Amino acid sequence: MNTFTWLLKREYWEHRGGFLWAPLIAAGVVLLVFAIAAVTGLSHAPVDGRAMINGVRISDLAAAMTPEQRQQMGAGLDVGLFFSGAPVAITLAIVTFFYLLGSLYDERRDRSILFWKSLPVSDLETVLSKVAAATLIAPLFALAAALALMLGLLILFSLIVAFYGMNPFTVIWANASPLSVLGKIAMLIPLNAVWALPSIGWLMLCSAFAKRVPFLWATLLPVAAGTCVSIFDAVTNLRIPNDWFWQHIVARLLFSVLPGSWMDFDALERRMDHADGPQVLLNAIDMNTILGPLSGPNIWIGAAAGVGMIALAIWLRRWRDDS
Amino acid sequence: MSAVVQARNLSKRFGATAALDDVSFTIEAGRIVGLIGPNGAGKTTALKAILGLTDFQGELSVLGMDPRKQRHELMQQVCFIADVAVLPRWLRVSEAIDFVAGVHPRFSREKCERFLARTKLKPRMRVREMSKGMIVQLHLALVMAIDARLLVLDEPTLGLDILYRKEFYQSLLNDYFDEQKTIVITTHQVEEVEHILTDLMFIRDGKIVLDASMDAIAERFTEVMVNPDKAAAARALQPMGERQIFGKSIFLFDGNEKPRLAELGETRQPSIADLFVATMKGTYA
Repeated sequence: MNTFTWLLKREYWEHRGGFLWAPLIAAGVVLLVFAIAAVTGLSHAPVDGRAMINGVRISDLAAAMTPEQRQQMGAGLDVGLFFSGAPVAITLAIVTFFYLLGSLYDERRDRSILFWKSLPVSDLETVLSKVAAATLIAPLFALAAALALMLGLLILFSLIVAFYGMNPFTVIWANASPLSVLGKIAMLIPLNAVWALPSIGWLMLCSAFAKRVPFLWATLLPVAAGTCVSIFDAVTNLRIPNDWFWQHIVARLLFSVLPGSWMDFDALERRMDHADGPQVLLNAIDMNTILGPLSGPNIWIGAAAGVGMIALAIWLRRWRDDS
Repeated sequence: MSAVVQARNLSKRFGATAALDDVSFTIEAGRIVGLIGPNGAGKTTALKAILGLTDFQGELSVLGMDPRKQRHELMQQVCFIADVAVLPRWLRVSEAIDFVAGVHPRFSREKCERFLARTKLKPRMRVREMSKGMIVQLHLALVMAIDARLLVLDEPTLGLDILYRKEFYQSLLNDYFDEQKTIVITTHQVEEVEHILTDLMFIRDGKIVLDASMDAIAERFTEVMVNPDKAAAARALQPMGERQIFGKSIFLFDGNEKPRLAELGETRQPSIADLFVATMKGTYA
């Protein structure tokens, strides 16, 4: 294994709790909530298989479905699976945020930076390994947790379906496609990474620069700047301050690590206008969705700023001398 | 063999104070050099400059390289223990060995495991579960298993009890040091290193005030225990230090002829600690 792989392993050793366990726990909580809901629901349901919907016995429902309905059912399941991962994604964002804030600060605080620097590993490699841990390692673990969650949910649905006397294989497993949902989520990882660069750069820069409390530096500085801009705007132009600065500077510095925060909801809504089923929602996450944000200048300006701040963080780690 | 460290007109300022003030020195291969000075004299700054951890003015070559520009190459040949307890608290013994073995081309896992076998450390143990002494044992085992040409130790035994301190220097001398290697040590516990040093450097207010081999120091400095009746005669020879003990005066002389001093009283070799105190007189005044 080369040095870079060892550095990634090092990050994993230190942050096993955040990278591995936090998304798994989030997935477990979601599953638990669904399970409790299911148990509560089923305990009130009639058990003799005579439950009816629209005059059809539930146990005959599967047989009564047309192929089109089956397809819609599958799409509905897939959309459900896709969005069931939201708590995992939010957990990933929180973990990544604090991981980055501590990435170059913790080693200075406990002075272990002197140990790392006694080894023949360059500052460039070290800092880049931390960027890779935030953009690749952490999301891949979250992806694994999302897969576990999807399979868990499908098993739970199967049990419910079986409880009503239907065959879970024809109703659930033949229609849902968790792997293609997973593929769609995986496809978004590179886009999330490019989009997250300004936040990654800013948080790492604060982490490398702050003598104490990097969290306050990272949050208060942009918020204070945004407030000043808004007040100035309001006073000089006598109008409600516009939110350009907040949206394109403050939010990009702080919240871009949230997966999917690049989503252009207006564009998505336009594509939803003639929606005729849940599959449209999932189909909307395709190459166009990914290439859409990448085609605008916004993401690239942000990425360039992020790379610049990462470079500054590397320089600070090399020359900062306070331990 | 050429010099391991060559410094010419090294300077470094922090605001108004000079941590290093136009310092020049040379460290030859196969030596164990003690860099001794009071707090704030510039020891750590000098070491940091050698290790490429800080910027400075002047010329400095370590193993023929510039530590500012070639730090990465340099660290393949140089190792350092900055202080006790700088190993990260989450690290396990096995992870530490794996990582160093992975990134350091001159690390011998087998050697390291042999050193650790002599301690109570277990592979699954984390640094946060260890005592200070055990952390140093781990750090030393890692560092001694690296075949480096220069080892820099900055207060390596600070805060350790006497058992660990003795063991530290013993293993350093018996299991690590040879004529291919060079060791630079800074410490306040002068008494403990004086028997292993080959060279001594005193640093004060950013300047090197003494730079000599231990043999030369034995030649140059003499301590004489003088009865009160001869004290005036001794003072006339301009001693660099004087202290009283049991009604007698002990004078420390630099460079006077030994037979002449013997006439004044009993002569002996001064300890490094006494030499240090005499040299640094008035530092904090």
